[in-house]
Amino acid sequence: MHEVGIISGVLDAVDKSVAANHADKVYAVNLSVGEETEVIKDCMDFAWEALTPGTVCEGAELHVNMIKPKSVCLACGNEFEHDRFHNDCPKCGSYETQLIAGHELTIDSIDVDIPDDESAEDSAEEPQENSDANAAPHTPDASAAEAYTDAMNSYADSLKSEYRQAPTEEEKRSGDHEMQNEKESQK
Amino acid sequence: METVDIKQPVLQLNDKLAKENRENFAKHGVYVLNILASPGSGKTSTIMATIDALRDTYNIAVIEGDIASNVDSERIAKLGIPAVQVNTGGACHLESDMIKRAVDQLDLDNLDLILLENVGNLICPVDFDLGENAKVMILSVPEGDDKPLKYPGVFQASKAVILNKIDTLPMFDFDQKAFEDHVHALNHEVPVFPISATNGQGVDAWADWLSKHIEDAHAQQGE
Repeated sequence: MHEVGIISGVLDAVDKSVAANHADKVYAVNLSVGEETEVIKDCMDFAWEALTPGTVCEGAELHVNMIKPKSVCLACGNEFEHDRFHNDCPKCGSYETQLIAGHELTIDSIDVDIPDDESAEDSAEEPQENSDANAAPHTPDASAAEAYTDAMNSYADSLKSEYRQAPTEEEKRSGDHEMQNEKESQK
Repeated sequence: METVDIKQPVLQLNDKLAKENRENFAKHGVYVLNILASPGSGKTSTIMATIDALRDTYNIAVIEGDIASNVDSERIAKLGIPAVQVNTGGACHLESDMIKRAVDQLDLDNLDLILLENVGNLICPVDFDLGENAKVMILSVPEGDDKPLKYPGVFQASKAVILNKIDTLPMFDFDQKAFEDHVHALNHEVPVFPISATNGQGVDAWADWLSKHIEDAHAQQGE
């Protein structure tokens, strides 16, 4: 259950961002989680329910965007999606492959209310202020992390239609749900 | 309602401290191994066998991660090897700040190798960088040859796989070839070292691999 530690980290980051943006209500927290991490969505939801009461995130929704593993073949350059167990190149059969997506564990964004009584000039400065507030304490990693998350997010965007559409009851039963149960039993 | 971008790794704090640990280890030319395995797979026995094989050549220390108790660090300390016990207080894995505090109790100037024994768990420790040079995992014969299929993450993250308790192979239905095939399907070039930590079988090959990596860490410090 290291998901509890992960959610604690998320809450710390959200706290900072809420303060930096003078936000007063959090509606949702949006995460990207690669399927090759050892993170289970159900456990994240459980930790969220357990840890958010009494915090700024009380009552907010946790949106977890699961990212499918994707690798590039170092022999032939082919990029391909795969499951956790097979990362050999389906085109040339090489095992010399490098994971380019599927190991994310990122806080993408938060959906918040920023009260109107903040003056217009304040809100004009907000984007800048926000990026400063985030960059300052994490200087060594900030640019690499940003480039990484940018690349990952654009990949996530390309999959949006697949992941953001609510699955039908049938899909839930036959697909994700089954996988979650299987992962759950490993824990 | 507005959306505010955050775009930061969830484990940013852990990763930042891990990076500091790694820089600290590199500065002192210390090679650090993060050892992952199930409870009862023989982590402490393997560490003791490794110490036995390398203690004449290198200065070694051990950091023992457990949910509670100092049983393991006492076993190591009896060998005359510096051992720091880290109790996670229920947490299922070590984090980089715990290692940072444990390392403060060690004299890095006079060390070549730190063996970090993570909490017995094949899942949670995989996601946490501690600043180590390499993760290695130990699987023991009684656990079964199908474990790579069930816990792919740890096999993919490891730079070496130790198959312990091979002296018990005749007692168990363990297909060593199938095991190695499963491992290599997940992690193509990872070396697999079959050993028996208790009778010493195979430990030399494992110790040779480790020696080579310790020497590399020394060479990089000199550069």
